[in-house]
Amino acid sequence: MKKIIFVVIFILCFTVCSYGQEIDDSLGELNFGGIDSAYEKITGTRTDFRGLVRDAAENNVGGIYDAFKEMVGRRIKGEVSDVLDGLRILLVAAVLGGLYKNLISAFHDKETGEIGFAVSYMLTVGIALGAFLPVVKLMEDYCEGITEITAGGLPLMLTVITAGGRPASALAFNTLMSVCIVMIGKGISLFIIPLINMSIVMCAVNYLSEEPMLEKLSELLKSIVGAGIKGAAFIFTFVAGLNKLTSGLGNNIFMTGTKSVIGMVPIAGDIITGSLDTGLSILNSIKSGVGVVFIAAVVAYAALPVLRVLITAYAFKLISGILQPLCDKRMVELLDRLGDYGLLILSVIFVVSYIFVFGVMIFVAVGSGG
Amino acid sequence: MDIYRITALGLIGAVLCVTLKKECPQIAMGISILTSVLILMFILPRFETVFDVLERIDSMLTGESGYVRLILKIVAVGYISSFGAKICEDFGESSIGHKIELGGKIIIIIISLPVITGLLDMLGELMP
Repeated sequence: MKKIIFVVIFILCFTVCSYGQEIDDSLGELNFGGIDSAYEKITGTRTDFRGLVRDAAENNVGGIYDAFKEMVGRRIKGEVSDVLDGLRILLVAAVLGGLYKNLISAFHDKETGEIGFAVSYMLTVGIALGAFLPVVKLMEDYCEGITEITAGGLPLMLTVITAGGRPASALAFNTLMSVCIVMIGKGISLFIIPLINMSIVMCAVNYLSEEPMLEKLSELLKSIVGAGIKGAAFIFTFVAGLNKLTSGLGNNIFMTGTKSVIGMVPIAGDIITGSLDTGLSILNSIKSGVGVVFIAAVVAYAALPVLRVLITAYAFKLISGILQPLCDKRMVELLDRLGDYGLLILSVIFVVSYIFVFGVMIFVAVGSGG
Repeated sequence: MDIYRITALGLIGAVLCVTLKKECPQIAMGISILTSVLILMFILPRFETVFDVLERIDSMLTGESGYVRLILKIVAVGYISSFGAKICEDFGESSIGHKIELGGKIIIIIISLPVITGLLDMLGELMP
């Protein structure tokens, strides 16, 4: 009896009453105004830090990723827009300067027929660009379409993977892959495609005048685009590697042949080839019909644009070769360069297709326990 | 053959101009213009065949018609202004010749304004 009384007294003296509170009530007592206003002052964007802390406390990983994507994405978009605005002004000035220089040089100490030649040359440049424009539109529409297809198919993929019995790891992988796919897709649409367009414009203006005025800038933009495409393919391959899906297949005739074909893809072929082992190992483990159908849909959607761009690019190169003994050197070089840009656009289409198809493969492999 | 007639006509006109230039430069100028016009009249009917071929090429350009006609106009303006300018220069009036050429260049620019604006529109479509 005494022991029981001692235990009760002990419990009453040394226990502390604690009360559980709702997260919102707890957060309500904290002042986030200072950090919100400081962040807004520095970056110029409003962010809800209270919401971020709530998401972290509730282990809402997706919410944190969305907020991070919003914060970083908006700033990057703003910076990219500023840079592109500056480049656009420079480009307009360069185009007008080029045309003005052409007109002045045509007027100065030149025969009347030579200005007639300059005008007919402008006409030919316009016709060549007009023939090339549909390829550029095709690339833009394709990138937009593939992003929409994937965004539309993601809920279905999530359902399939969750039904496979691995919701926790699937959620983490899916969130990471969704961020990658959307960022890369948006990055290509917002950054790489405008740079390609500007590079084409600079190339055309460059060949309007007798002296190359914008050659270095055009080449710089083209190399930036090439690096951007390689970077996008590399980032995605790296992320895919983090998912521990890098088992190789060894010597395999099919893989060797496929590697050599894919290695011919302009610019990013070597990076895509490096991840082919992963792709084929995943393909072997694909059990989900949904994944196969999704991949088939993406491949079917990609087939026509790839074919059209390939034909157009090599048509320009062929015409350039045929006209070389007959035509002015500038026109021959312009047509050849437009063919090169066609191949650049082809590499963009390949990289975008590769990213989305590979992403689907990883989703399905995660869901299948691979 | 026509080339013999053209060459003969040109040579006769040149000899007459050189002969009369010192005595009577006005008549020499008239002979020079007459010789040039006669040579053109010999050549122009032959252009019909060339125009037929160019019209056929123009019709082959699907969607964008009128380019060949535009280029022909530019070539015609260029040639006519050059024709007049050279005759003026031959008789020492190079400043008048330059003005004729300037007029020709301005007319070519005006004719080709649709081409220039079309090219600018196309470049504008590509720019972000």
